[in-house]
Amino acid sequence: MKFYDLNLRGQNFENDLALVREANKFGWDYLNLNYSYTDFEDSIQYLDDLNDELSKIDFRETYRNKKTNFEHAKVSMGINILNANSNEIRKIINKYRDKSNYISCLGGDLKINRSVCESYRIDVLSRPYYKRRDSGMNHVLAKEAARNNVAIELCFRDILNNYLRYRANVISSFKEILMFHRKFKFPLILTTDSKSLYDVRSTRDILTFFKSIGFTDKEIYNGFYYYPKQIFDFNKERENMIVRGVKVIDGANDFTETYDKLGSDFEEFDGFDFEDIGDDLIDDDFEQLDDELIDDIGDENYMEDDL
Amino acid sequence: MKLKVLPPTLRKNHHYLILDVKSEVEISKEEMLPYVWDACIRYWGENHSSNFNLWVMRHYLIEETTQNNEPIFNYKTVLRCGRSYEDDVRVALSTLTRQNKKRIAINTIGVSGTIKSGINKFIEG
Repeated sequence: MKFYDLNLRGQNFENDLALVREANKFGWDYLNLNYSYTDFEDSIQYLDDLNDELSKIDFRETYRNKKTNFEHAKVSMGINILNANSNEIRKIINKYRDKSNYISCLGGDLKINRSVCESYRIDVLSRPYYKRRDSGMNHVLAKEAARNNVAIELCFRDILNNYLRYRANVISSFKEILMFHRKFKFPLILTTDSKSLYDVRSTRDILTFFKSIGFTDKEIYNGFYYYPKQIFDFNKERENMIVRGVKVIDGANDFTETYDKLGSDFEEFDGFDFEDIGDDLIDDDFEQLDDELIDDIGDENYMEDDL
Repeated sequence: MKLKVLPPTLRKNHHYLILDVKSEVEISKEEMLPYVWDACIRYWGENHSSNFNLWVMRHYLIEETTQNNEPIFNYKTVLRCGRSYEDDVRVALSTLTRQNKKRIAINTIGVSGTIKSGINKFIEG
């Protein structure tokens, strides 16, 4: 399994480099930096530089597992549409759909949520619960998202930056969206939305968090790997699609051959064991050393005396 | 008078989490423990946190860097916790972002059965 983070907030070269280095260090395999549509064309100029810098990093400086994720992370760039109405969103999509492999739109407003779910040209509806007391989703939107293959994005950063009842509210929204996902089967992706070094968390930490709020192994696998990969694979083919559901295929001799090729791209969840993610393997060496025990007890007594 | 040390079969079993800590300000070993407890109690509540049995065993300053003219102190810490509660503790720690209005980020980079092997594998190695 690989870990895709489709939402890192891009700013400028220095900050982006620091951010992707940190994310690479903590085991992420694919990083997608998001920019506003005005900054996108400037920022895509230094995409190759970012990938070069990442490939130069010494493997020993990272916490990546030598067996399971021995390659450095790959970086790509996408567009995140903020503060736009339905009409503006349509114009931006018309302009940038062919230039970018990833277009997401910040939700929160019910009209935006609805228009994004109804548009098959947008990949992701980001944070439909943003600045809301409810989840921003209902059965109608869920059906539309499933029909148009629009993924719904849940951000870990909303957990980090909210406290007490607001954090509880966000977790409650996550659970409600998960419930819709289980019933209506729209794609659900999980991201971090990291903006600074302090927002980056290791893959295992985030995985454990989502497990703790009720996600199953399959949903986590799909949210971090299967659906994100599907979005990028689909968008690579998008230019060959004449109309929805019809695609030009070059070099195919007959239908059977093409059909076989298409089938082989999918990697379904088959009971992946998350204990294999080895950024932190538990040691099998459990022998308790005497000096550690003494040290341990000594520290506790020290605290009691202090009090 | 001190209590007699419990026989091995009656002692609680522990595991040790190796933490990577980033902070805007310097953090001492004594300050680290309330940070960890606060994070656990905030996320899991008092009842469940009572099982964790947390204690900071070691605390090392690894490096001090700057980004955008702001210092970043990077520490590695060995944190004791109750066996089979490692995942609960690491979730709580990952949700900690600010303490005393200063930014902090805690990542768990490993779990170990003993302090010595944890240090050898994740801090010195």
